[in-house]
Amino acid sequence: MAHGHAEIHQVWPKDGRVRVVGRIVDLDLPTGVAAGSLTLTNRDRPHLVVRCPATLTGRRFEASFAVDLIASASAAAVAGDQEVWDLHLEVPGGHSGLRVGRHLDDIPNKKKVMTFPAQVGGTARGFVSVKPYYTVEHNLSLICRPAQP
Amino acid sequence: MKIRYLLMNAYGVGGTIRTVMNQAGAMAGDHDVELVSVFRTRDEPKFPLDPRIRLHALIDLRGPRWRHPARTWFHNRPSRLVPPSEVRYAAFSRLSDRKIVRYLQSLHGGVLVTTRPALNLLAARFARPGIVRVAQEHMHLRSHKPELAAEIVRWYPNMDAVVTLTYTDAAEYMAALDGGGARVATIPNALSPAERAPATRNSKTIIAAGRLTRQKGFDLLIEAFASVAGTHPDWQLRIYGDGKERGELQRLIHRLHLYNHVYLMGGTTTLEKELPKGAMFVLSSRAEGFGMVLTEAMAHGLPVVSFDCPNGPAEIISHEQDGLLVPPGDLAGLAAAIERLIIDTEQRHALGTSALASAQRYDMSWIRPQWEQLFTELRNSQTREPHLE
Repeated sequence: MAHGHAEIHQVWPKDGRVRVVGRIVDLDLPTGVAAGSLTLTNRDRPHLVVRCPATLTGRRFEASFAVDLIASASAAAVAGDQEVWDLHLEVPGGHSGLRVGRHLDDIPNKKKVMTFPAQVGGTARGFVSVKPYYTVEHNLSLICRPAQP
Repeated sequence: MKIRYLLMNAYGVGGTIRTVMNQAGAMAGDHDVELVSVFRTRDEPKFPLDPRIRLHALIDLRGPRWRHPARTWFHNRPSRLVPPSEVRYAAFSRLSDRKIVRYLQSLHGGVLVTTRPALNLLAARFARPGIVRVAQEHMHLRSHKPELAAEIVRWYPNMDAVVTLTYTDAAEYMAALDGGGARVATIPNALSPAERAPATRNSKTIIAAGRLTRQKGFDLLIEAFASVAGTHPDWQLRIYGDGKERGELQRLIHRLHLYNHVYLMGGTTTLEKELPKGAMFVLSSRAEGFGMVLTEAMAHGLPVVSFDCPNGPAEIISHEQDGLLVPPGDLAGLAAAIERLIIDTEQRHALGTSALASAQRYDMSWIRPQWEQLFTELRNSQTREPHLE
């Protein structure tokens, strides 16, 4: 990983929000508190990006977003398709898009082993289930589906 | 000595199959050992078999191929000799009745070891005198349905010996058989041969393992762990195994918000590579036949926390010496015992060191002579009896 990544310690899908806590690795960073952002990029339509604030304390990062936010951006999920959003962390200093994932432990097959509950976001057009999951490459993404297929 | 082991299916996967094949392999060095499988469902067994053992099957169930119509007719009729209360009743048939009885009646001399109630009962009824008949019990008497227990009490006195895995179960058999015929002995399962690296016990990982079924009580463990994770959020629990409760356990983990702390790792055939990564091992079963996984964890030097469920844990673990026993179903007690070993590093290491030492009594070099002695004594008492008459 030449330009670093955002290593997840915990993911908390709870109370209508998804909170991600972790540590930035393999990248030089200034000490102290800084502001960054967590971006959610629609995998099929990469121009569709949802951005939310992230707090950086040295290498530690923490960010959270409301499930409603991503539900209302997931137009296709309301219509019945599933949509996938990939998570990146942007840090000051021009390093764009550190992929958010979990690579530094010995647990294989995280897609099946480390699973998270879905939450439901309401939009004017219907309800969308939003569920964080680890991809086969152990990166964190969201899968959005109609809450009632 | 000629020793024959009769298994229901040597080609399947399961604790009984593994331990019987392990035991047969250990006896093969000095004895003439034969392994007979009632059914054959694969080309080769899933567990490694000592090349000195002859393996053959009575009924080949592999693939679609031409069978004699009479065979098919018998195969499709339910067994008349196996009691319907036997857990595996449905697998037996009129065909297996005929094949097993014919096999038992063909035997002369040597030792015959049968390995589940259906086979023990058939050996008790149909094997000729002159053969040393040994019934192995891999579950305990109380776990059998009353109808099956009644059959056991009726026929097991014909056996030369009934061998249980625990003393508790042996006591049950002695009481039930009421002094009739068979000698009751206890020989625990031996550790399977494997390279076992000792655990450093310095990780913050707790390990549990077993089939994901209600019997193993992982639902209880997950609930108990919720309070542990609250106080010690840097610790995690890894549960190895697969089974039909997986979905339900996953939902329990989600509901209790333990997804950052409890992982259902899936099945593994190399648990001995995972156990050294742990700081302790936990067994939360509602019931056990023996609790072999406890001996495996201890052989890596892991301290064990276990429910004192029937049967096994209390005989394997010396409370406060090499592990901690908790009253069965006591969730607060289980959580407290785990937390105690998290906080008290010194005790964790002390119990683990003792566990490594006490697991040595399950090494095959200790278990094998117990079988040899039993077989020899049974054979001697049998050859002596005719002279007395």
